[in-house]
Amino acid sequence: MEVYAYDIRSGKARSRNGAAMSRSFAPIFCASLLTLLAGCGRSGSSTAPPTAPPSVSGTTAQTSKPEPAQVAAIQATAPKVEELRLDLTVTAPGVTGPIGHVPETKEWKRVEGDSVVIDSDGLIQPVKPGTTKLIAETGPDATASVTVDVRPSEADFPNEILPILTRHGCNSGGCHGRLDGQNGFKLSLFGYAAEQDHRSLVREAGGRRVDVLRPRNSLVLLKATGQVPHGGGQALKPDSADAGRLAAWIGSGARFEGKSPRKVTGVELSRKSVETTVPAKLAIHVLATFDDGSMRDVSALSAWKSLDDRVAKVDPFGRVSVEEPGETHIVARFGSYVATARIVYAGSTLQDSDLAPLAGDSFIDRSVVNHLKALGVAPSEPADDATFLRRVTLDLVGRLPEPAEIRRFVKDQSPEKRAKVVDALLADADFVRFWSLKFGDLLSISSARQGNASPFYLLWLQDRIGKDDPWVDTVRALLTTRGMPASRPDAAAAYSLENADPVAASQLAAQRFLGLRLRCAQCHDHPFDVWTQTQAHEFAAFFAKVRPVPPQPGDAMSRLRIGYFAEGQVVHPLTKSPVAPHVPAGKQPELPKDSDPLPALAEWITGADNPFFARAYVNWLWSQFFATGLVDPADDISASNPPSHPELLDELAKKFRESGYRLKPMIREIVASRTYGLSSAPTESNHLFARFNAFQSARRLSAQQSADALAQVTGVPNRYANKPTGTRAIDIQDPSTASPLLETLGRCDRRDACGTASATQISLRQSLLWIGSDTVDGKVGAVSGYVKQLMDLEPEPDSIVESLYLRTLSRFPTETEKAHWRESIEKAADPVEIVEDLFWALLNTREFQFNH
Amino acid sequence: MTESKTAAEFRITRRTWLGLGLSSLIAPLAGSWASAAAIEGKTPRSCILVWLGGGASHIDTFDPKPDADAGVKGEFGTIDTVLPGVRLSEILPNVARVLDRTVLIRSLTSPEADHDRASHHILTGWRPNPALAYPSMGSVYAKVRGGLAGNLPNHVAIPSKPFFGGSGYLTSACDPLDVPGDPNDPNFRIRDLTPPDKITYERMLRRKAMVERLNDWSHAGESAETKARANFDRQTYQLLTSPAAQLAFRIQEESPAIRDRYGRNALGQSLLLARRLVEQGIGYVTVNDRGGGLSWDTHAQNFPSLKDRLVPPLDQGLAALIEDLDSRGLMDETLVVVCGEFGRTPKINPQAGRDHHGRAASVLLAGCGLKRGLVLGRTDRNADSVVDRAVTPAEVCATVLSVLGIDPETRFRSPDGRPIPLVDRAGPVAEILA
Repeated sequence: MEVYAYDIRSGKARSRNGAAMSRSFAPIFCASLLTLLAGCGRSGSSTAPPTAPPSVSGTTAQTSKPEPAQVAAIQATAPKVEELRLDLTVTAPGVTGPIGHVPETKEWKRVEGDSVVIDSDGLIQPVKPGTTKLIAETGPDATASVTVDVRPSEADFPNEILPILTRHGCNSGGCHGRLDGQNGFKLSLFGYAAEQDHRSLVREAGGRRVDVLRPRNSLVLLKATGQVPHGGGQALKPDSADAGRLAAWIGSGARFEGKSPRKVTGVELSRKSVETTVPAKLAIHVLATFDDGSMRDVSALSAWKSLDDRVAKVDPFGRVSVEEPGETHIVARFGSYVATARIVYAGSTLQDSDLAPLAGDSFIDRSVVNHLKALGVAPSEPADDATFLRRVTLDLVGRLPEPAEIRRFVKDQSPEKRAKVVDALLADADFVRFWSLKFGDLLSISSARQGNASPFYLLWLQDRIGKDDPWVDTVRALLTTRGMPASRPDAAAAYSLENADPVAASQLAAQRFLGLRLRCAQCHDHPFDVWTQTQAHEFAAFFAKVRPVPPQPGDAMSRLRIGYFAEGQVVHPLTKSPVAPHVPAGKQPELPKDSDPLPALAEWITGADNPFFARAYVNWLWSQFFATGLVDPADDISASNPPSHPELLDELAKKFRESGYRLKPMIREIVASRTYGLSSAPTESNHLFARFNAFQSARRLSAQQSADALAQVTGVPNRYANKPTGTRAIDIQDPSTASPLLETLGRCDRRDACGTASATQISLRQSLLWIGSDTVDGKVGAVSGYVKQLMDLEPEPDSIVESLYLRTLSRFPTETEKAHWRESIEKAADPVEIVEDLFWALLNTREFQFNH
Repeated sequence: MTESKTAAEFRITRRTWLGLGLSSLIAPLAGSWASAAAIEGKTPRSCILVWLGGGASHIDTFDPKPDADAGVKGEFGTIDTVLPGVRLSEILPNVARVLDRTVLIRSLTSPEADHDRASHHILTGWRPNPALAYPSMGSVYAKVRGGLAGNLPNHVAIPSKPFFGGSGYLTSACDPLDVPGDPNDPNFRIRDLTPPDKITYERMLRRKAMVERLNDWSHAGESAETKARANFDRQTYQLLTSPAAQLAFRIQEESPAIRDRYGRNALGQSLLLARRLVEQGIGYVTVNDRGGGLSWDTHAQNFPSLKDRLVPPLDQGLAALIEDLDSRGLMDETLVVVCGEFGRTPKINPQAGRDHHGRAASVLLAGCGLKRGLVLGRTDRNADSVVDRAVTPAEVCATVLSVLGIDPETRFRSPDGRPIPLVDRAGPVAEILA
């Protein structure tokens, strides 16, 4: 079988406003390949719509260093989007933003050459070598052209074949990309190690996987097409373009690369952002750049995914159908590269008054408003004072406000009362205790991990939180303190106890301080779009040289010492040779010979130019005040997991640096925003937009918040093993203090880093605890409990109801509520029993069990 | 069963409300099963997994080697069983009596010798994968059969699930309901599952109505989390107010004679509770044997630990379970599986213990129409390696799922959208299927 490659170059389009556009693309196709999409329309190129239809003429020129293409903004008239399958750019009206309107294209005419045909599906089919120029009429007065150059193919495994394996999921974490492969066939995860994958495919399994003489009989094709039993089912249709391309490559010798090997240096999408006010169909192209300066449309070689299928769907060639109002990202993966495009479909146009609840001068509100405006979604109303007080008290000090505080706050007429209460809470001793729980979760402080050093570690941490020491200094101290962890001066050395396993320690550090998951613990995406396996091991090598070492003369016998360990090394799993410490990006730090490399790494991590450090922190912080981080999950910042508000994340990171990396100023910014202060009640029109902060989502209370709230409102303390009566859950910092109550409520066990709010799950056991347990009912009916004390005063029913509401829901009852419960109490044969039941019921409402 | 009628009948406290004429009230539950069964055209089958966490010593129990080398053979002799020519360790006299109703596989072999990794392998049918947590057989069962059977959770673990006995990449709704506590405790009741004494049925309904009213007036909006909680709350009210559900968990309803037969210890009573739950329609019950505080991980003092603490409750309880299921006619619909994550080294270590051994272990199965009285596979003279019919952990999973009516080739979607078979390339062990 003769193999051809096909090079397509888009025409140069010229519009009335004079913008000249050209770009050369070189997608290479096998003879049986079905598809090709000519790509243009680069985001960021903005052109104003001309008043009259422009003329578009086409010329071609193959350039080795293409200029970015642009598409003129052309007014569309009466489009019939369904007819458009092959297109240069967007094909629907109402699409605004940097792309501009584009012409409706009804029909492509083959005018010059016969090397391709256009099939009934609108896809270009190569026929034989040669050049064909396609011209389309795009309006009464306008045409556009594309030139397709069909050439014999060169073997190019990394750029032609490996992407097919990614595109069909063959090398995903659930299939052959698993650490130990699948059924003896192992590929690198998403193809980050091309040479190794080529070896697996061509050399291993006795060479059965490829059959150069009879390509279609190659095991890899028989399996993938389901012609022989395959654990992964039919991944490829036998008559598909990709199967054909694999066969052609095998038939041509299954070589790794051709005469002029080139490496991908990056990919980007033809559009990074699309905003529309109507349903739309459009095509997005993946543009890969190579180290020889060439650029190429690799859309048909890429894997496509929409993060929210409800809003927009995408087909295997990058054709997008925007269907429902909302925002989503289209994620394209070419080999191990990932790029995303944001799609926003605004359902309606807002009046300024719709955005009044967020009208403030906070940069947070401005960003949220911009997104809501683009989406055409109005925010909910602001929360009332009592709700705000409850919310912020829970968030800052972990407890409920007392009834007296609520009365005082609601009555206070001062315009600064919210700011004042925030200041008071930040200065409260409970702030340190409550936030040390959060940081303790992040750092996994527990006696199970740090032994007798953990109490020193905790005290050290609390001291830093209390002084609001800069996070850069804290992280530097954690990474670089040496000495005896079980002592006050060297307590931060406890961090390095984890270095006994340098790979795990490096992964934890990346997750905690940079928001990067190197571990691939979750399957939804892989970390290697940022870091390769080699980079991950080079990063781990920093941690190998510092670990627990034998005590020195004079050290107490039972105590460990953290120090330099010259023999420490990390061995690369593939090469089996030691790896030198190396940071994955930015400037390589100078590493002193034969000494501790961690101070240098600490400088790199905390450096002002580290793109992850400040973002990871503010994103984590954001997730403490809202249901999710701006990047969610908060500890998974990756190219394939875009933030909901990218500019807000940047701005928060900037403010964090400017504040000297301090916690409290950032908290002030966040809780002072109107975004934070919105009601948790979604409206008919905004309930799907929690991710865009159209309202404040009701968040479950943490284990410690729940346990303390239960004790606080019932007046009956919880009991903890070996702790004095009255000990609060926020003072049970170590998970080794057994507590069925806290465990059921979902306490972080600190076996691992569970710094994000979503680390624990809602469970049936929790419902059983609240509804079925003696624990809750016993506190409600306790002789020493609140109801008994209240009823002993023989109050009026109205006053009972008000007291119960203030105590549990932290608000006054409405008139309706008061009247309803008054009647129940008055009619009751046993009023105490009814009041107990009401109290119990209040504890079992979502209003009590959630921070809303 | 209407609520008002039930309320009238149960204006009594917990101590008595379960004792009265309850058999008639189980009918609705059975009815719901009957209809589920009708849809599938057969009775759903149940499973009791007896999990010997830590890894039981095969050579000292089900695969004794009287001719083994010194330093391997150990301290126990062997005894005849009801199966001619098949011998067990002398510390299993009761199991020896019922061996003709079981399939004993002596050739389980695992590539893993680490607790977590090996447990993951045999409980999920997949070797561990850092990129994806797989669901356990029980969670697969709960997913396929539906999370709840009537009012009951369909997947229960006594007292708690083993590591990797959970839902993996499925939702937490497929996790087992843990029933902590010791069923041998005279005051045993499932924590939080039985309402406090003073709360009558009527009062529970009143409280529930109050909560509903308050939630209608709520100042808190709904979110994904509030909805998840509301769902579990609904199940909880059903569990608490359904006499059938309450009865299922009340081991005190069993006669003293039968409780004695299972053995008055945590494992014996847990096995009895498991039978009771299965009888009430709960599909998958894991009894996670903690060996009375010891684990089966006998790195030191292997022999006294097995002989005095670990094996006798298992021997008595397991034999009682099999006989009891048989006499109640439940054997055809109930699968009993007894295994741990791996076997133990033939070589006895200096602490008189045995260490982790993936290469060889035994697994016992019974019920659901499996062959009776079959011994499959063989290890070598020292019980070190399998020499005949090696069976992998994935094959055990495939067998369990198939027998329960779930095709192990069924594919679930992983979070990244890949169809993943329930078991990693393994089919059921054909020789043991009837």
